[in-house]
Order: sequence, then structure tokens, then C-alpha cells
Amino acid sequence: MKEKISQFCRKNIVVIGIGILLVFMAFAAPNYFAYSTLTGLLTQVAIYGIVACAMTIAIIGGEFDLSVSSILPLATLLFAAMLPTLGLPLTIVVVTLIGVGIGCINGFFVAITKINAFIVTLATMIAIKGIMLTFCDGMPMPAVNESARQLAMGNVGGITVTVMIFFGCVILTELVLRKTKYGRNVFATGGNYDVAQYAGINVRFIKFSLFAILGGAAALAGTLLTCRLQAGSPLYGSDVALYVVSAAVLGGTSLAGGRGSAVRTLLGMLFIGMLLQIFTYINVYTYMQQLIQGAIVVVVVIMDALPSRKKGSDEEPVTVGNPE
Amino acid sequence: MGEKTVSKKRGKFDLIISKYGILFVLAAIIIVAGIISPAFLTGQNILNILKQVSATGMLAIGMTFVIISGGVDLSMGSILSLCGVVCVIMIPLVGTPLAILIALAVGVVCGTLNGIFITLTGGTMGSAFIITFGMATALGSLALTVTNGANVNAAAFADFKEIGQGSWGIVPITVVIFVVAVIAAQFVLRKTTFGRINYCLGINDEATHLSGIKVKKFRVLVYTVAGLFTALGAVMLCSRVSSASPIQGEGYELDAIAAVVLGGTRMGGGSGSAAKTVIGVLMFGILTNALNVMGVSSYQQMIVKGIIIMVAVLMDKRSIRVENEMLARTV
Repeated sequence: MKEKISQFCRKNIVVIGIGILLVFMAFAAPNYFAYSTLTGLLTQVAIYGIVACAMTIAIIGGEFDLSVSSILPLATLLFAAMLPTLGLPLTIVVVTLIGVGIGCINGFFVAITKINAFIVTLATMIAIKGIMLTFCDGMPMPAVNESARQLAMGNVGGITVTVMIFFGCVILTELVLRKTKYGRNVFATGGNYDVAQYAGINVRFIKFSLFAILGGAAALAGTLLTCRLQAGSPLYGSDVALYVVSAAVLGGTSLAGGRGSAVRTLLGMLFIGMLLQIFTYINVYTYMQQLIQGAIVVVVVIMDALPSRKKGSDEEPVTVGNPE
Repeated sequence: MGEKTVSKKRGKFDLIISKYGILFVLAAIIIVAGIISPAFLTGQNILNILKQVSATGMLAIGMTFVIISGGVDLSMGSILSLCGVVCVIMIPLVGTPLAILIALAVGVVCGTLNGIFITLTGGTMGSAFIITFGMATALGSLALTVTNGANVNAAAFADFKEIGQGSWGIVPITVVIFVVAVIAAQFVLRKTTFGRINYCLGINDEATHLSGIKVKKFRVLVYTVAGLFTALGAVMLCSRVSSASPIQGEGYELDAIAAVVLGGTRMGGGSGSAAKTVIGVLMFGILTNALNVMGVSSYQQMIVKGIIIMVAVLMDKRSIRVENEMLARTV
């Protein structure tokens, strides 16, 4: 019985966490419970949330991508540079495709040459950062455009278009993961690479596609961020990889691969978003906020790994990267 | 038959390339840089390079231990920032020797924490990546919190500056420290129980565990050693530049990984040595210096570094395949 309770707690850690935060705010700041707080929270997490959906698929497939924290700011700069000549819709498409292209480079090295995804994306992260800083010379670029602003900030009852796109991504991810052959193959590949291969799944394509999706999602998030902030900057989004991985793992997506869901990642995003809101509310210093964010990752990853140490549990031990 | 002899020849050639290729590349870089810029091959510049690489080289030596054990440490840059900041802040309070000791203790504690957390999560490369990634953020912001984001000046502490800027004869003190550290690391890796167990962890930690070795204890120890080397590097670096910045170490962990991999120590563990890392460190230092002398911007240098890491890993993959083929042939 005790075992069951602890299992339940571990599985629903994010729900419990959100509950604790809500109770805390009920005492500390009753005026926190307003509709505007909720819409504000959603707007705040929506852009990184799009990357989080893609990262959830990748983690389920047993992979991981650090380079999103370079692809996202690169996309904001490219968007700012192309917007005046190409117009809004075409710019979004082109920038997203460039993101997919970069993702394909990652995917090639991971899936075909079988190098550990951490090393590959670490290397591309540095290289893309270099390209991006050369491109903009370290300076932000303005992207003032009314229709772009409308795209990001236009809203129905406080729910902005960005939030709608985010929800669309969550639903799409969930449908793809649960209802399509591709989704099932991702689970199988992440669960056990060799078995999936013997079962006739094109595991290389699956691994490759994970990175293409991530690159596209990061670039799309970058364009939406630029629409909202009306500028591109090499400094935007440097924390996105840490943020979305902790959200996914908080939501119960296992770093071991083969287990997870986009809806739970959404809850993880909300938890971190709420935590940051509360930090601002009770005046926790920015550097301290980052410290706590880093600490959350460490704690969450340790908790994610712990069940595998219990006897008689059905959990797999944590292994991330290419199962070679 | 003909095909076989050809492939055998190719195999030998590949083996030479995979074993000594790195030295050819190093020579090529030196020659090209020397031709493009005469300033490169002057005695002063060579001493400069040695001085510059000895601080980062300490990190690479620590990283060598970690990578041989089958892990990785992305938090080294942040540990460096934290130790540097703590050291310089402490000097006016407790004096230079004690401040340095405190900085080393901070490094050891951070490294040990890394080790404990990684052991708790199963000790795989993946868990090492994600844990040290989180620790990098946490410790980096801790360094920022300590100084409130400002730099700390160490220009007034003559005895502290002596470490990084002084020299015995023409040999800079930092270079002496680095050489001693390399010899010590090489000795520990080759001649001590801890060193041999370090290789075992990287090859197969399950088998190591089954042969009665306390895997967890030793894995923690590996990261502690890495933390200690990082703290030493922090002291040397801060003393050389006469200040400590809370973001000083940003990106240093990547340089360290690149140097280790370039030297030929394998990601994934089980092989490599401190001596190999010295070659990687020199190569990386010479390359950075050559790019600087040639006037390549620091932004473009990042592109080059990213590509170099990829190429080094790809070459390593290839040499593993070649060695396996050779092994299969002899069997």
C-alpha cells in the first residue's frame, strides 16, 4: 500500500506540485486567482511550449536536443531580417523550413553516423551560435510589423493566437503519439532500439525525424517570439533547452525513452510558469530564479531515475542517447 | 585475394591515420599559421600560448578523468566561475593561501555533488549530461548571486597575481603547475588502483560492480577529482587576468571536451590518457591563437570550434571501426 502511494505520488508529481503552489498562493496572495493571471500564464509558457511538445516526442524516442537554444534565437534574427522583403506568411514558412533543415543536420549525424545526440547537438549549438552572432554582429534586430504583432497578441477573450497555436501543437502531438503508426513507432524506438529495429521499424528514419521536428518547432517558436517582442535578438531563448526538458520530465516523460505524453508536458510547463510567476511576486532575485530552475532539473531527473532502483518495479533504468 | 590485400593495406594506412592523425593535423596548423602570420612562430607567442592553455588545460585534465569513466561534466565552466569568484572575494578576508584553499574546497564540494547526483540517477552518460547541465545553470547563477553580477578585481593582490603572471626564469609558473598536474594525472591513471578502476567504469560498470568494486564510491570520486582540477584552473585563470567574473567560465567546459576528444580520448569511456589530452589542449590552444593572430572574430571561432568537435568525433568513430575490422581480421 505504501509502495502504491509512493508510486502514485511519483507519477503525478506535477499535479501535486501545482496543487501545492495554488494552496501557497491562496494564503500568500488571494488576488492571484484571477482570469487574467491564467491567460498571462498561458501566454508566458506558450512559445517555449511549442518546443516542449517537440522535445516530448524526441525524449519519448530516446533522444535529446541541446541545439534548440541556438536555433530559436537564430530564427528570431532570420525572421527580423526577412520580414521586410518576404512578407509575414512567407517569412514564417521559410524560417520554419530553415529550422527543419538544421534539425536534419542534427538528425543525420545522430541517426546515420550514430554519434551521441548530446555531442552532436552540443557541437551544432556552438556552431549555430557562432553563425548567428556573425550574422547579427551581436546586436538585436528590429522587426516592427503590425500584422506580426496582431498574430502574436491578437486574442479572443484573453487567449492569444500564440496560445491557440500552442494548444494546437499539444493536441496534434498527442494525436500523433497515440493514434498514428508514426507515434507508435516513436514509442517503440525509444523503448528499445534494437527490438524496434528487429520488428521492422525504420528506426533510423524515426531518429532522423525527431530532430527535424525539433528544429522546425524551435524555429516556429522563434518566429512567434519575434512577432510578440517585435525584435530578433541573439540573447532570446538561451534557456529554452533546460526549460522544456525540465517541463517534460516533470510531466512524467521518462528520459529513458518510451514513456510520456504532451498533455503532461503542458502541465510541467504550467508548473514552471507558475513557479516563475510566484518568484516574481515574492521578489526572488533573477539569479536566484535561475539557480532554482537548475536545481529543479537536478531534483526531477533524480526522481525520474529512482523508481528503477526499487525492487519489483516495472521501470527501466535511465539511459539517454544512442543505445549502442 | 587481390581485394583482400588492398583492404589490408588500406587497413594499415587507416590505423596509422587513426593513431597519429592528430599529430599531422597539429603540424599542419602550425605550418599554415606560421606562413600566414610571422608573428605566430615567435618565442614570445609560443610562451603566450603555453600560458593561455595551462588554465584551460587543467579543466581538460579533469574532464579526461570524467570521460574515461564514461561520463561527462558540463558544469565545469560554472564551477570555474564560482571558484574564481569565491577565491578573489576571500583574499582580502583571509589572505591568499587560505582563499585558494577555500576555492579548491568549493570545487571539490561541487564536483562531489555532481558525482552523488549522477550516481543516484544510474551513472550513465545520459544522466551525467542532464545532471551537470542542470548543475551548470544552478552553479552559474550561484556565482552571479555571490557577486551580484559584478566582476571582482584582484589587481591589488600581488602575491595572488604572482601565480598566473610570474615566472621562474623564462618558464611561467602556470606552465609549471600544468606540467606537474599532467604528470600527476598520468601517474594516477596508469599506476594506481583508482586510475585502473576509472578505466573499468568506462568499459563496463556492471562487470566492475560484479568484480567487487564499489562502483558508486569511485564514480563520485571521479567527479570530485574533476572539481578539484577545475578549481585549480580557476585560481590560475583569475590570477593571470587579475580579476574574477561570474561568467568567466562560460563555454570552458566545451573547450575542455573538445580538447579531450581531439587528443583521442574516446567519448563513452574506457580509453584515453592525460598525455593524449595535452596534445588536444595544445592543438586547441594553437588553433585559437592562430585564429586570433589571423584576425578571425570570436564569433566565427565558435563556428570553427563546433565543426572541430564534430570532425574529431567522426574521426574517432571511423578509427573505432577500423580497429574493429583489424581485430576481426586477426581473429
